[in-house]
Amino acid sequence: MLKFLKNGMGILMLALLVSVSTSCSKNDNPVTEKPIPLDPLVAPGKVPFYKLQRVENFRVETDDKNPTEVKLTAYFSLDNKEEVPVSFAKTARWDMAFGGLYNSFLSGNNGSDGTNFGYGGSGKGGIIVLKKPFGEVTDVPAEIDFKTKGNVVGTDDLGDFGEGTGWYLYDFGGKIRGDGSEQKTHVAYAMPEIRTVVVRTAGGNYAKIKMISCYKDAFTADKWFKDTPHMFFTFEYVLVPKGSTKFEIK
Amino acid sequence: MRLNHLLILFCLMASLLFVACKKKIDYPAQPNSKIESFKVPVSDGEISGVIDEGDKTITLYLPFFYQLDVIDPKIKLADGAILKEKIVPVEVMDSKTTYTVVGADQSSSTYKLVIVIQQITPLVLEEVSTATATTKWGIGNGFIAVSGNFNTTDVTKVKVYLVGTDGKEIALSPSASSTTGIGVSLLPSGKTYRLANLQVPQTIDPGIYKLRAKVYSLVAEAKYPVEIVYGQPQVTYAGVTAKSGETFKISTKAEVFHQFSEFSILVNGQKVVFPIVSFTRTEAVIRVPEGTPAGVYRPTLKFEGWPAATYGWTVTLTP
Repeated sequence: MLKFLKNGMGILMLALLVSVSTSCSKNDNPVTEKPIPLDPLVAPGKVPFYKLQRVENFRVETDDKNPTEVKLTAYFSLDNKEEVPVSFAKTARWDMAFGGLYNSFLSGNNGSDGTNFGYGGSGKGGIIVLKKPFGEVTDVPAEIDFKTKGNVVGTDDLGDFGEGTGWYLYDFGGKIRGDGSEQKTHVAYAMPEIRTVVVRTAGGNYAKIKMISCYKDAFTADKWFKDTPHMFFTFEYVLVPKGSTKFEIK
Repeated sequence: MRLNHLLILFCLMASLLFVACKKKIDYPAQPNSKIESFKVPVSDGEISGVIDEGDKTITLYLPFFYQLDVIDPKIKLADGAILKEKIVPVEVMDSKTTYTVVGADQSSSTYKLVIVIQQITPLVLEEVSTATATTKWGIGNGFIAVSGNFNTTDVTKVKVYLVGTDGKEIALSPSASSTTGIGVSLLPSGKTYRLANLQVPQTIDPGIYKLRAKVYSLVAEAKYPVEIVYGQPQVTYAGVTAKSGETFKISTKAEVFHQFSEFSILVNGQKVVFPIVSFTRTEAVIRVPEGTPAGVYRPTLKFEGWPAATYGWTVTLTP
């Protein structure tokens, strides 16, 4: 071997061999692909978590001359603090519906429940009403406690035509909470002092809600009369993220 | 020896050539203006649209049983690209929606959205008439029912029309007298859906009409027509209060007023006729004759072609 290498020809052949083996490479992968970050597929809500929100005089359709006639359900986004068009009912863009008699029955947005206004859509929401004032509701209810049906939280059994635990007391004759006068008949008394509504939003966040009034610019019971302009909802709420176990206001 | 030198030189040159021989091959640049995914969330997951880069279409196959009115898509774009349009819900029967993507490389692409609703065909509308008997519906009748294989319980998905000789479709509307709904029955012939409490519009003309139903993009027509007629007029609960000499109104949300000939009450057993000042299909203006004593009275109304009827609501005349 040494004799071969000493031979100039041998060295040249070796050099040729080395140069061939190290040259003429083809790069099959000229561009290194960067991992593409996932785009946020749903726009984040406008309402920040843990901050108290107030909605005043949210107006829904009503007609005292034809009270039992079906009215258009109203849809509200708690994540964005705004009304959502009726045409978007079967989407996840709303969280709480106002339907039923005088649009006073509340429901969450759930695409899996055939009675829900959002049926077929991707909403994962639900609703429950607790027998506690707003300030005392600190724990997020268990998932199993949320109801997914439509028009499920309305009149309370403390009043007339109650349908279980509701958010308001309906005083048909004016004598339960009123003085029996004609103007105190047919008044709907929101009960924030003993009732709090909790909604699981369409996207899975949670809101605890203080229903304050359904009368225009009238937020306390002394201002509520039969002829006070009504079905203007005022409520306060705080939103906490999906997976939370506690309601906090920071 | 000389040959050896040449050979050595050749080998040197060859070595140099081989070392210099490197070529990088890059792929041709692709436009960056692309939609990478189009997904529609539904109750049990997501439906992905099929993106065809060749003809720039996004085809979404939507099963009917979700009963959607709109789709609310989630769109993923190529890195750095932007969408010119705002992403908003799209009606499922829409055929005009496009999406324009502008890439980071400033290239632009426009995709057309095609929504295909997957339905069970054919749509069948059950007959309400026969070859020998044509069903009659009164103008304003709010208790109309039709049946078929609608495959939905959503009343807004089933559109029912009366089609006149001019080919114009006149929709039956939700009843003003009762709640419109769809009931499902399982019969030996199969599952059938009954859409009840539709209303014949109060404005329609009498005549013979074809009956047509539509569910999403499917259309069915009954073989035998229906006849629209003036039915027995109805009065929506009135509860009138008026004074002697004044006028009051009564109205109907159901079968319309037609040939309204008399309005009367009984005062001490004697018939007192109230003049009919005017009437339309849906409203009548009645005057209380001067000197009619105050009291609570049940009225009797007469429409030509129908027996006179005394109503349960009352006319209260005040002093």
